[in-house]
Amino acid sequence: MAIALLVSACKSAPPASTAPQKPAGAKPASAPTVSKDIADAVREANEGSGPLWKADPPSSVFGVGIERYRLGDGIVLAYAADPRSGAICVAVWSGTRAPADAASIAGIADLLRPSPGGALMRRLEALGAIVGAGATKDAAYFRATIPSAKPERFAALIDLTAERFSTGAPKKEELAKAIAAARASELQSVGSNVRALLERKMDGRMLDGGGASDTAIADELLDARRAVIAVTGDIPRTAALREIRRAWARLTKSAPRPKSDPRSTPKMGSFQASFETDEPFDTALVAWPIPPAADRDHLGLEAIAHVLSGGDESRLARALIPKIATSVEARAPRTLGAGRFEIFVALRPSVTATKAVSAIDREIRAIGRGETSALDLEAARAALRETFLSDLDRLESRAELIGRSALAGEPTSAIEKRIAAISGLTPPELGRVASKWLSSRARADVVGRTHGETDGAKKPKRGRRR
Amino acid sequence: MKRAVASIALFAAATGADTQPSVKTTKLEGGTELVEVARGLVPIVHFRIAVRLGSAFDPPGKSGLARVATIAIEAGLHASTSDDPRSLERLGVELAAETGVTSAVFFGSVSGENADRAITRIVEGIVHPPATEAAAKNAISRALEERQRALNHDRSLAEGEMKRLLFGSHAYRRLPRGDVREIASIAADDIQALLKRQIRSESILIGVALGSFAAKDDLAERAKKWTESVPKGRAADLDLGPAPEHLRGRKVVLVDKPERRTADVVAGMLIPGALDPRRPALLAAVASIGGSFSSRLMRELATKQRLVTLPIATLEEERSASALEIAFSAEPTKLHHAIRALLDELAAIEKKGLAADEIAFGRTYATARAELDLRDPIRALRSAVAARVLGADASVPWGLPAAIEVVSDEEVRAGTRLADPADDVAIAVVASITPRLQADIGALPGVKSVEIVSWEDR
Repeated sequence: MAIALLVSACKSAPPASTAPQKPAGAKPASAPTVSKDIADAVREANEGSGPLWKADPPSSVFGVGIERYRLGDGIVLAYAADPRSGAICVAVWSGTRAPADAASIAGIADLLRPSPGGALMRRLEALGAIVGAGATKDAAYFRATIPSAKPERFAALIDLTAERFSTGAPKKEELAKAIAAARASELQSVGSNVRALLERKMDGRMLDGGGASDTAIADELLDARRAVIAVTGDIPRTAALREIRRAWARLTKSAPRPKSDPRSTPKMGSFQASFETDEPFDTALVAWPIPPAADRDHLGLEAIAHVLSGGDESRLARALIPKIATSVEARAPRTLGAGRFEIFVALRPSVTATKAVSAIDREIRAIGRGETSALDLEAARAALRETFLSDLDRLESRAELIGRSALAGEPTSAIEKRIAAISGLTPPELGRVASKWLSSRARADVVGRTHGETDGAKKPKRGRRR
Repeated sequence: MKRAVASIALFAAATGADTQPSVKTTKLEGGTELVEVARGLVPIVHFRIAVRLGSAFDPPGKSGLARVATIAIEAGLHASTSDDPRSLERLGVELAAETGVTSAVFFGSVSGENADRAITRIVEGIVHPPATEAAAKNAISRALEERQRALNHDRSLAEGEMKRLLFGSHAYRRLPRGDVREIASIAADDIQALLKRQIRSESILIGVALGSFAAKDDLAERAKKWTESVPKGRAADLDLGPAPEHLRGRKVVLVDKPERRTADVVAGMLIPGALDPRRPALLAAVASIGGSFSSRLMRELATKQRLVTLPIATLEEERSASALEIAFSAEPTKLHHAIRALLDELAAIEKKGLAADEIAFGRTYATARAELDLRDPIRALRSAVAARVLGADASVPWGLPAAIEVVSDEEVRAGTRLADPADDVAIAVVASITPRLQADIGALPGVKSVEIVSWEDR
């Protein structure tokens, strides 16, 4: 793949959000006020020696109680009871706010994931666990879901999760191998390749990976004291607190938990890059740096993503499909640190990326002027609300939602507030958010060109189809 | 089917397990069936609407018609009308559709407060999709794009080819995606004729999994309004006939995809249908053989011998016969060793049976898996609706965990003998096919035929 970079004049991106960003593990500002049930459970679980649990004030959304507990100065338990579920999901999250390479995170996630055919997987599946694992831009998790009918299996499951950070912890020498494998896999996908290049450029790093911080990021992600354990399902809070304290307490006894290092939104000017791919069509990825998911503007950015590409009648679908592009997707992923607002377009043969980028510009400027239609807004609000409901409904996605929120250091009420804020989204509010974060002065355009072609001089591609 | 229910009930009674179903079936006025799965804290409704619109109903020369009709309905549901623009989007409905051999299913979720309006609108959209030539052309174009994507996906391409070999002339071999030339000949009238015949009140099934929305009023009363637009009567049905015939030999199809750097393989064996009373034993056996990340195939072929990547065994769910499918990826240079090792391993399991600890593992894992399937609203609803589509009681899946838990070692061993890897295997390989590879695979023991096809012809 040949890479040609054209970097244009730069101007500063919008300032980083001024919204307060609490680091993971930060104590709530006011003294916790918790119910008697919670206080009793904490007291009972704290019997015996060792680090003690403390409870944050709980919250409730659509009948799901969201609770948060901290063991000593380290491990966090995000808990949501669901006594009728008949199952328990345990998800262990680790994250970083440092600018991390996607391949590094994917490699570390692979290390955390129990290997198929391995001894740990055998022990998990012998408990009847369905195991999953994954990674986002700056966090990795592994999870297991078990039926709740045999309570002793929960204790065994918690022991196995703790092992991943102690006797069964991935070894440092495995790290480079796992990251190399993730990079090799990244190279095979045009989409992830484009994103990796963009990410490195936007983070101000070298385009060949610049993995100098891999070890530091691995240390952070594999540090038990920074872990968030999300537990949801048919398990009493006392049992969850007691078993996690029993299995994990010794992991909090090393050096004090390091202070987290929140990353501000990088300042970046516009740039354009292009490179050749083996795909039979051109692609364009347009991106802007945006604040972390905990920022108050993030929900507006998620709504704008939906207004732009949610459904056949969204603004960009109408503007680009079918004449300019075959598909378009805008998204504002939720990240712990600064993230990216991305629009990915698969272009029609013989259409130049410039046409698509101009159309994108036009639509974003219109949203910036407060010209989101009532229909677009209603659809975006409904979709956001449905997504939150779906995430809260199923055990695995609920564990992800409460785990990520705890990892971001948000208060337990953050999810409730975010859902409430959906109804406050208005055209002027989307206009304010778009003007602040989606300026053409801070935009990155990366164009993937069919091998051997230049813009405006297309040749039919033959012989290579994937 | 009665045997299956009886055997499950018997197993459950023996263990004292609670067999009270968390599912309720009601016949609405007009004959539409309502399946309710009650659970969940959150006010969201998951729905599955099944209609008799599968590939088995495609007329000769019009393969893919049921799929095109399903796409036309789905596109119509997503489209705006002048008096009600973007109606489902504004209600926050997530909607998708799939087409199988006998049925098409429209499924998704919506917040409880919007459920009545959304489901009514979806049922109306199924009954009255856009009837224009433009809508038909759009659906055909989408069907062809979808087909192309499926061909680009090697695992699904291999699965389709395996089924073609395994099911021979039986309807189960028909892929909903159809033949390119036949899809292109479909007209708007074909779609309308099929829908007129098949969309009938007595042949529609509406399944809902309810969260805290759970019926304050009688749900059946509300559901009557959902189906007011459905024409009365019963859809044409098809007798799919007896189970497909056995292959009597190992058959291989090699799908040539030049420049592929890995090979995708799907091997299939004929086994009894989803309602067979031996299903619980078979599920325990499959979990141990290849249906988990700790299975025999995972340990032997992937971890120890390093011949394959992620071998996974699954059971298809058809009525009169199913396929036990084993899928994996391999490097082309190791491919014939990998296939040979798979066949040897399956033959050894058939001959010597599974060890006691493997059976115990399979039983525990399959029991938990079946239990967890019922604890997840979407999977539980899918199971209940699938049971009804197969003609069984919707509560049958709820008896499955207890039934698996009590299968004896001997029953599990008998389960491993339901497939015949020595004499009844269809193998599809998607790879860059070289003469050497072809010769190596042709020389594998018991291989009766090797067919080579180009992926662009499929």
